[in-house]
This record gives sequence, C-alpha cells and structure tokens, in this order.
Amino acid sequence: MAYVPVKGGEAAILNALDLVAEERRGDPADPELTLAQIRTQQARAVDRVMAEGSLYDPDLAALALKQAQGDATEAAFLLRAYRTTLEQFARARPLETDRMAIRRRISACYKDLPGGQVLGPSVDYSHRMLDFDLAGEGAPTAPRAEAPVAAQMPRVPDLVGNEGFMEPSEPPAGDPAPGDLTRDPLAFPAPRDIRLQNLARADEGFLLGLAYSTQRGFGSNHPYAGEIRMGEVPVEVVPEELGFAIEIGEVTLTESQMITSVKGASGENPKFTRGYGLAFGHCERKAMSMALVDRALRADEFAEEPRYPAQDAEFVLYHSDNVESSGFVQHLKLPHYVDFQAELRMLREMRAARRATEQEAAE
Amino acid sequence: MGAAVMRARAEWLKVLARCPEAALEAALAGHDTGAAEWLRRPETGMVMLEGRAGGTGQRFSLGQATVTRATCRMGADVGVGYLMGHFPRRAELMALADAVLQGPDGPALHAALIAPQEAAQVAARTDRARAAAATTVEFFTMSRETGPRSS
Repeated sequence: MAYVPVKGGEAAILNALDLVAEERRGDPADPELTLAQIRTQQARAVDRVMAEGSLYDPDLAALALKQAQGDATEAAFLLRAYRTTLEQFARARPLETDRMAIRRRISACYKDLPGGQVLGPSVDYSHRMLDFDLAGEGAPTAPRAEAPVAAQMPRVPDLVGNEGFMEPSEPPAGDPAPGDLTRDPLAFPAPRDIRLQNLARADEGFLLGLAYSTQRGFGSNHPYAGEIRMGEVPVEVVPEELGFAIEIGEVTLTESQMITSVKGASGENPKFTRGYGLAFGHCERKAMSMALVDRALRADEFAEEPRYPAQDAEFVLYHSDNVESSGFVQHLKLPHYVDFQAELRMLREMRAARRATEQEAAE
Repeated sequence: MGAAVMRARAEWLKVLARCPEAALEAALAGHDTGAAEWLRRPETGMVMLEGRAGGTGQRFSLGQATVTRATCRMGADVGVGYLMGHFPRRAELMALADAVLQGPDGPALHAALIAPQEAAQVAARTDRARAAAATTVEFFTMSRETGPRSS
C-alpha cells in the first residue's frame, strides 16, 4: 500500500529538537563538555562509536557522542550518515599488525613468549569496585620502565605456526583486493573477507551474545586466547601524485587471535584452527567476540555441521549491524495510522461476518 | 624521482603527517610560500583501511578513516599534504612544507621542523613503550622453602 503524507506536527517536531538541545546541555551552571574531554576521558566510548560507525576519526566520534548524549548506537549512526557525504580517495595498504607499537599484549597459551606478557592499561586483574576518589579530581601518573617494550613483537599464532601445529593463514593466490560492503550489498554465500568486514563493524552486544552462546553449548569450539594485542599501527597510502607509499598517521587497533580445538580432516594431520578479530580502538570484548564468531562461521571449512545460530552466516550477518537493526525496529514508532485503521476495519468485518453466520445457524 | 629522494620524502612526510598545526605554522613563517599554486586545495575524504585474516592471510575491508589532502606547486617542486583526520589547514601547511623541503631552503626547514618534530614523536612513542614495559609480567616460581624467587 502507498504511504499517505500527513501534514502537521512541524512545530511539535522543531520544539522536540529544541528540547533535546536543552536537555543535552544540562544545567548551564555546570561547565559544558569539550570534545577533547570526550575524546580523551571517554575514550572507550569513542572507540566503540568508531568501530560500529566504521569510520576512524576520534574527533568526529567525540562530536557524535556529544550530540547523541552518550548514546553509542545513535552516535555510530551519525558517523555512518556522515561518511556518505565523503568521497573515498583510495584504499590504504593492508595494515601490518606485526608492526604494532605494542601497548598491551597477552597470551593465554604461552607464559614465556618473546616480548613478554605486557598487561598495558588493563583492569582485568582487579576487583571491579567503584572508586569514589574519581568523584573528585586528580592527575595520576603511571611508572615508566628504564627500557621500552620491543619495537615489534611476533604474533603468537605465527610462533605456533612455525612448529607446524597451526592452520596456516596465507592470502589467496594473487592477494586479491577484498570485497567492500560500502560498495556492494551483502550476498550469500558470504566469503570470509565480507564476513570479517561485517563483524568488524557489528554491534558489540550482539557479537558478545553470539560469542558467549558458542561457549555455552550452542557451538562446539573450545577456544584459547592465543594472543590479544593493542597499540598503534601505521597507515600507509600511495597518493596518486607520488606513486610511492607514505605514512599518513596511525590507528589504534585491538587484535584478537583465538586458537580453537584440534581438527583433523580425513587424511590430514590434526592441528589448531583459528578465529580472527580486529577492530578500531581499545576494544577487547569486541575483538575477542569477533574472533569467536569468525571461527564459528567457518564451520563448513572444517566439515562441522552448522547447528547453532552463531554458525549460521545469514542469521549472524543480516542481524549484526546496529544501524540497520535499530532503523527497522524503531521505524515502528513512525505513524502507521492507515495500516492500523485498515487492520481494525478488517477485524470489524470479520466479526460482523461471524455474527451473521452464527445468527443464520441459530434461525 | 630517484629512490634516495623518494625515501627522504617518505621519511619527512611521515613526520609532517603527525605535526601539530602550530609547529607547522611557526616553521613556515620564515619561508616565502606566497607563490605556491594550488593543484588541489585541501579536501577531506576517506581511505578504506584493510586488515588481513589471522594477521597474515586474506585481505578484508576493516573500515574507513577520514583523511585530508592538498597539493601545491612551487617552482619545479610539487608538495603533497596527506594526513589522517579532518584538518584542512594542516594538510595545506604540510604540502607547503613538502615543497619547500625539496627546494634550496630544504635543509634549513628540515633542521628547524623535521628534526625536532621527529625527535618529539620518537620521544612520545618511547614514553608509551616505557609505560607499557612497566606492566610486563615478571614471572617467578614459588618455592615452599625459600619463598618467592626470581626466575
């Protein structure tokens, strides 16, 4: 059926937006939040908005968070909308995570590994108790070691791989350019490059729930956190004016390599398989969830019978994007007056018909 | 362009892309850049970043990043500005600096801008790496007789 435009409500809408602006600002007696404060002091929220907005720009993500009053999903939506106004100049060269300037790097598989277990800025090993000192102000500092961490550290799965126990991870012949969901819509069967792009920008909560389901029995993998690393990776492009690669800055990334139970296809030696997670910012929950879901979605590669939601690519990839999901769920708030009236009329007619039939039968 | 020139430019462009605006303004203030002709005025767009499955395998589109670029010509030299984020003025200044660095005033600008900025960037990176190093776990083996013992 056609949509019927209804006039009116314009003043109400404008006033509603003004009301948002007033409430967003809060009490004018309090100082207004600056974007720098959001960017540096609410950095994990900024990271999440960049990851789910699929656009790396901490300044814009901070602005989006301010505009959305801290609503991360709404802020990611604002970034996605903004990016449609920008031209894509180029594809950067593939990021080399082994060149990461490490700020955190741990492995649950090896105690002693080259470069060591670097905890970095982490609350993992603490009680999660509210710190009432933070209600006040302060300028805490952390200690520095004499010697910095190694400039580069080998990735743990590559170490295991050297012993021949790890499923190799090599590019396909010719190292082809990947697909891109910002250019072509999702289609099935979705190859791994498309799945990874979808997961990298997927809603963290959705991915976390799916990842948890694979651990609780809705999946059959027993994963190890082979390595989790976080730090800065240089971004290189080849500007058309130059014809050679230059570094244009760096991005903070979290990478998760999950190593999953031994598999032996018939005639093959058993070995470890792997799931991969990579996302913008410091986001271990997201990156680990992504790696678990990536591995679950590789069921057919390892002749595993797909029986669970996390192994169902259509279920996962069609419902992972919170911009799409929240658009479709929330469109229900828009007027459906005509649809509803039509349904109401249909119900009335059905009841009338039923009454008529009952009367006929009684006579 | 010879390989040595390419390497030198790539090195200083890497430093310039991370330079604060104020440092660029200050260093270029003493150079005559008024004759620069803009082949590309500053414009903000995006690049698509790519990862590799498992870190080494199949490429995938990770997500986009905002970038700003600008290109100018000064005499025979073409200067390029290209950096992450939405920073039109920085891109403009970076292109001017790249052009000056290729000309006769190049060594002076290198000494006044690139060398100190590179040192500051290395110092910041080293400071982060030393803070990380302080959180490296030093495992030790517990022994009932002697207590904690460094391994």
